[in-house]
Amino acid sequence: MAPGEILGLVGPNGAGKTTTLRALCGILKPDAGEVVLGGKDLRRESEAAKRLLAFVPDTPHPFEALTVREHLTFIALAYGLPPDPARADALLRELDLLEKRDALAVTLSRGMQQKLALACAFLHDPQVILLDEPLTGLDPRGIRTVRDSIVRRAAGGAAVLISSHLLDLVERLCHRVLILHRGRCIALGTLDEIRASAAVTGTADLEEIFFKVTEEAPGTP
Amino acid sequence: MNALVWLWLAERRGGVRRLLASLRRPSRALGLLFTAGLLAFFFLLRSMTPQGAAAADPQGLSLFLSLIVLFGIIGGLSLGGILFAPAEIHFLIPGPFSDRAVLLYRLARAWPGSALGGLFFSLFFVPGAGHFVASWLALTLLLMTSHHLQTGVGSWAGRLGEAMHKRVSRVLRVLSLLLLALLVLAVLHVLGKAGSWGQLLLQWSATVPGQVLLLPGRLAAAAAFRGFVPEATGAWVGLLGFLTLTGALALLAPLPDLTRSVVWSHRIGVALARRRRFGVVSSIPGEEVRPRGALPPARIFRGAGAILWKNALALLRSPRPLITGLFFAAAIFLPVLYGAGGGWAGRMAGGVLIFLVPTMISAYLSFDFRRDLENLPLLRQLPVSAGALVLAQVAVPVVAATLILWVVLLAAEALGRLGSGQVVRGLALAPIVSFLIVTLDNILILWGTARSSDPQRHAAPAMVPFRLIGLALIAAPAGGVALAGEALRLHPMLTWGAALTVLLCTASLLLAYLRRLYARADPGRIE
Repeated sequence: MAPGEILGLVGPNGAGKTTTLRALCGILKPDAGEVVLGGKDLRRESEAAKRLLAFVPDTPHPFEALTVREHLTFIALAYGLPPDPARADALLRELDLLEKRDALAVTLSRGMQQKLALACAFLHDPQVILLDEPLTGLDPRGIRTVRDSIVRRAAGGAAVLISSHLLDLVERLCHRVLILHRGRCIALGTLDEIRASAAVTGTADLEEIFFKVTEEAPGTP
Repeated sequence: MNALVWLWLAERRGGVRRLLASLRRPSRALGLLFTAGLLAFFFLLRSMTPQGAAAADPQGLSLFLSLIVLFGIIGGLSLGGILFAPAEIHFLIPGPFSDRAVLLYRLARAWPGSALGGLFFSLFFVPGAGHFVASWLALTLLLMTSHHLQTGVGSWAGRLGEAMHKRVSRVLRVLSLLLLALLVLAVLHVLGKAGSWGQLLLQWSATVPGQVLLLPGRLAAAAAFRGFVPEATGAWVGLLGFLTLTGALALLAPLPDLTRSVVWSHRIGVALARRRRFGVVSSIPGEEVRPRGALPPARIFRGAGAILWKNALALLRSPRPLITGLFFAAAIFLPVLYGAGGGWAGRMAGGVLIFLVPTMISAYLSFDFRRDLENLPLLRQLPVSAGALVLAQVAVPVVAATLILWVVLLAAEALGRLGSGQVVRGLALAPIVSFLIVTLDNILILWGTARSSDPQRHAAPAMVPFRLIGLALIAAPAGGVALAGEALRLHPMLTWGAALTVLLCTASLLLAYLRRLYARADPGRIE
């Protein structure tokens, strides 16, 4: 992936999207191959590679005793960042969380916890952002806020990989799309490139392409 | 048959069946055996020593029982409602039952527990009184009364309103702590040694307010010690009167407040479900909470120190586990020392205590991986080495367990139950033993998670046998070295140094294994 690129990772349930993301961020050890982030090998230079990375899991799990603001303090401490309350507040404002900054994160709604997870991910200006279903549980305003934040990070030079079932959103947001099926990449490219390789009409949307390529993929009953 | 009566019976029968079925699993059977063994050891110590035999004391017991009744009242006031199980909320409250019938069922659900509690207290406080059935019955009736009071007062307190209830709760928390201290004094007095504070408490109990407040406990103690004799008729009638009166208070509770109880039960139910899975009670979801207390993010908390900062802040904000751990350690093990008396039994009890206190309180101090299982994806992506992270994770519970152990040891010395030499050795051993046990518990939670994704399989009760095996493996090498040193008549310092070195080596090995487990843990099995 190139800096500034947004790649959409789509696939049926059980295709291996979450597993792929977890392997990419070092939670799972890949069976084969290597993960290189900004020139750093995730296995050999684990800590240096992780400094460039942010991962937001599909289900937010905030720490039980920390407030919203303290989550950002924790991340700043862990990444060795100098204390910068103004930056933390700016992030919280961007994600509509400023009013909740002193509340215990576990007592917030799922959508707000999701936005907090994103704020934590963006705090250290990562070069690579991995998002697993980042819009689940968000209301329409939240979806727009988060979408704009993601676009802003990409415009700032971060490579963003988004796993999602919301195909229309992926279509609108992502520069390229990767379709995963039974753990294998069955299509990768811009929408036009995938359309061409899947031999669909020039007006076919991602949903149409998705069904065609996954139904025709080897091993599909 | 009335549906609620049938349900009550079926639930009790189901409970017994579930217990028997669970015993087929070796881990559960071993866990039960361990608990039974611990209780037997405790009762044996009590019955074997002169202090234990002399402990039959109606005055002290009446004080203790009255405090339990007061706890019932405070518990009800603090709760400000009645706790229902989720199934009761789903089936009984919307079901074709009157509110009073549901309340009666709710009261009756606690009666078997009161009977078991009565049995325990009877064995503990009335050894050799000669009226086993009478003492059991009297103490059971007293515990039922306390439960009725808790339910009734809780329901009435529900009418206070949210704001008033919060204010009252704060005062009650302080009062509860005071009562806990009095309870410990009462236990110590019953065991024969209470010191001047205990004497003062007894003097107060002889005053008119004391006589009134302590009446239920006095009646129960009189019935327990005298048995079914004509002279005790007044005590038995009084006891039954209290039971009926408090039952009526609970059943006549203001019924519209059941709604509030249902909301409370749901919130607390969610918190308890998290506790069953992760060994902690989290804050109650659905209610935005702004916590008090802060810890400055100083430079020393950079990197892996951030984990330490987070866990220390968690302990600072919820010190209840620390207080519970301290109370638990003091309330259980100081009586063990009293029961054991001096000589070999006292020395043995002191040695056992140093290992048992951290073992028993570790679950309360789970400010480590036991709380952070859900957060493994976040922890794993931090730019922190695995070794530093696991060390930072176990630091807070180790420090807390050490402090508790030191307090208990120093209290035991102040009360003259342990010699100064024993205490010095205990103080030195405390951090190492705490570290070993906390690390072992963290190993077990990560190992159990890797072994099975079923939370029940790695919940605390299921891990008891593995914990026992782990403890034996930890203690055996150092214990072997210490015994060998004594057998060879080596200098005590040399023996102690060797045993300590072995313990430190064991700690290093455990830490390395925990690091390995953490590095390999798959968060996908936990979520």
